[in-house]
Amino acid sequence: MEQTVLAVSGLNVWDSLTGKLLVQDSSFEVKRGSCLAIIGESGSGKSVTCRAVMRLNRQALRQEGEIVLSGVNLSSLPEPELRKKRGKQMCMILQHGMRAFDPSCVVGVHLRETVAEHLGLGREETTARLKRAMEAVLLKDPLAVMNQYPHQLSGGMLQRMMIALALVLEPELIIADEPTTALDAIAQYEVLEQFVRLRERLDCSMLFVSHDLGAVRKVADELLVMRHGEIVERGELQELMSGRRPVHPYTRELIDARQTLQRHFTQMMGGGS
Amino acid sequence: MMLKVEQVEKSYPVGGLFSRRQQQVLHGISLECGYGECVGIIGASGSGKSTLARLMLGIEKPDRGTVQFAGREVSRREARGGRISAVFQDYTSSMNPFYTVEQVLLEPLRYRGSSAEARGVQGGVTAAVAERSDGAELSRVGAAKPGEGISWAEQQPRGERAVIRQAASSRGEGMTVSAGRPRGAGGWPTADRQAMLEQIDSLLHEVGLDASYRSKYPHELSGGQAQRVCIARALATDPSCIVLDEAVSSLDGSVQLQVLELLKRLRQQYGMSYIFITHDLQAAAYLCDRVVIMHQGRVEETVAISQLRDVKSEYAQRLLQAVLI
Repeated sequence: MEQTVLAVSGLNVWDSLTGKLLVQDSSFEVKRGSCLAIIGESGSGKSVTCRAVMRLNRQALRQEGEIVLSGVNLSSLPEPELRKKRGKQMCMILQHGMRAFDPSCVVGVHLRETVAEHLGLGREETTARLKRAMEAVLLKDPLAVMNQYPHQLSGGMLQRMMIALALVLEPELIIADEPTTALDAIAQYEVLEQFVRLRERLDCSMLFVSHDLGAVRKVADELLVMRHGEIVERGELQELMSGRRPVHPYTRELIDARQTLQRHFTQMMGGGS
Repeated sequence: MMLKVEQVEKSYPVGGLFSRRQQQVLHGISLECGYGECVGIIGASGSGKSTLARLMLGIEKPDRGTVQFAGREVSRREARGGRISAVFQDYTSSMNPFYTVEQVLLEPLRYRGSSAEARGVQGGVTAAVAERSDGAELSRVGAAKPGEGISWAEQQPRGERAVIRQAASSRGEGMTVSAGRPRGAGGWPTADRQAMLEQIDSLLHEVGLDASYRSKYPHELSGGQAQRVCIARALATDPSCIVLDEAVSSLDGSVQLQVLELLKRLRQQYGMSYIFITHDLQAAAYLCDRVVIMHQGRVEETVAISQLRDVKSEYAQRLLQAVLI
């Protein structure tokens, strides 16, 4: 088994209507069992990169470049083949839980359908597995939750449902696109905890997109900084944060901004306690 | 006290179109904000923070309780008089996409202009209308109380308003008499317009943008720039209080800090007070003197920032724990 799960090389994404280049010559690798975080400001091409890997960008966006998932080149794979891989081999967790689930039916329908499609299990087995997974992400009373519509659940709960689904499907790669951005502080904390535990349980690789350096620090091993569609910085997270090596001015700015707020807060809390 | 919220309750209808069910969003909230103070309101999503903001701005009225601004009911327009303004989270939707930055900033300036000149112009209106040899008009003008020039002119039926405007403009008062619906800058006397453009430039400079931004449209601005324009717009009416509803939450790391620093500087410069609504405790700690922690429509705890580590309620402690360090 090779060391890289996902290898992207020379990825270009552009808008065929305006001819605008959104992602420019981006190449990166996700190592087996590690978590790569992509950070950058809005409009820097983070989400477009994620969706390009899944080939889920809207029609007007064209892409070229090699995307290899565990030795299979996705960019030349026909659509029906790719469909089988989405969800089973790579699982996407989106920013808005509300939009990820079908609003017209209870969430259980969506979950069961997905599990049945990919694993081909019977109804009882499916429910049992979902129940176990949902208990694992600290959702109380899973059966009742499955019988509720997306709008009846909070953002944090929906996000944890998606993590539970990932637990059942056991994908090789999880792509999380701003999973905590729409959540408040406490829900964010809880969801991040679940991400950390998800990695422990499945030993899967992860591509974690965020603009919040604080959240990234908690889950990621490696860091990729994007700006205006280009990768400006890459490296080990610890190394970058500790300031042991010179970094791109933009990365410096991001880290400094975070640390200024943090220092102020720690002072308020009574110096490092 | 500048802003005083007392025992406020608010509920919204929930369920289908014909449902009579009500969900109570705020349960007896009381808080105060003095002149020059910065109060943070912290809570999870759905805890009623934004509803409270809307009540403080007078956009909505509470079911029970009062919200007073400088001793008067805030939902009355004349009590606010442009002295309280707002910056919202969603910078793209809070600006008219068909307006340039200049037009966006011109609107509040015009409002300020019209309310400041109200007293001065009033004499003009009275005299102008009195010139008509119409007994009825004269008696009505007599009924208008001093200092009410604008509101009186506004209350008149549309046809008469045109007459007043005409009369006033023939005396060289410009269109300031009837604020009406703000339109493009076309109908403005050039001297006024020049003064306002200068004001716009200084406002933009204040928030760290230059005059070249005047002709840009909202979609041409980045998030940070758009939020700066929104702050400039809030400043334009020379407010004593700005309500910031998640104003920095949708900005990225480094930009967030820049905007926080801008807010801090403006506050020192103008001595305004802020109501800073957020779910980010670190941002609140950076800017505020005091935070109000809300949970499910109730005030859980009010604590000075310097005593943040001594919070008592269980929810507040959980909140502190969740801050990512």
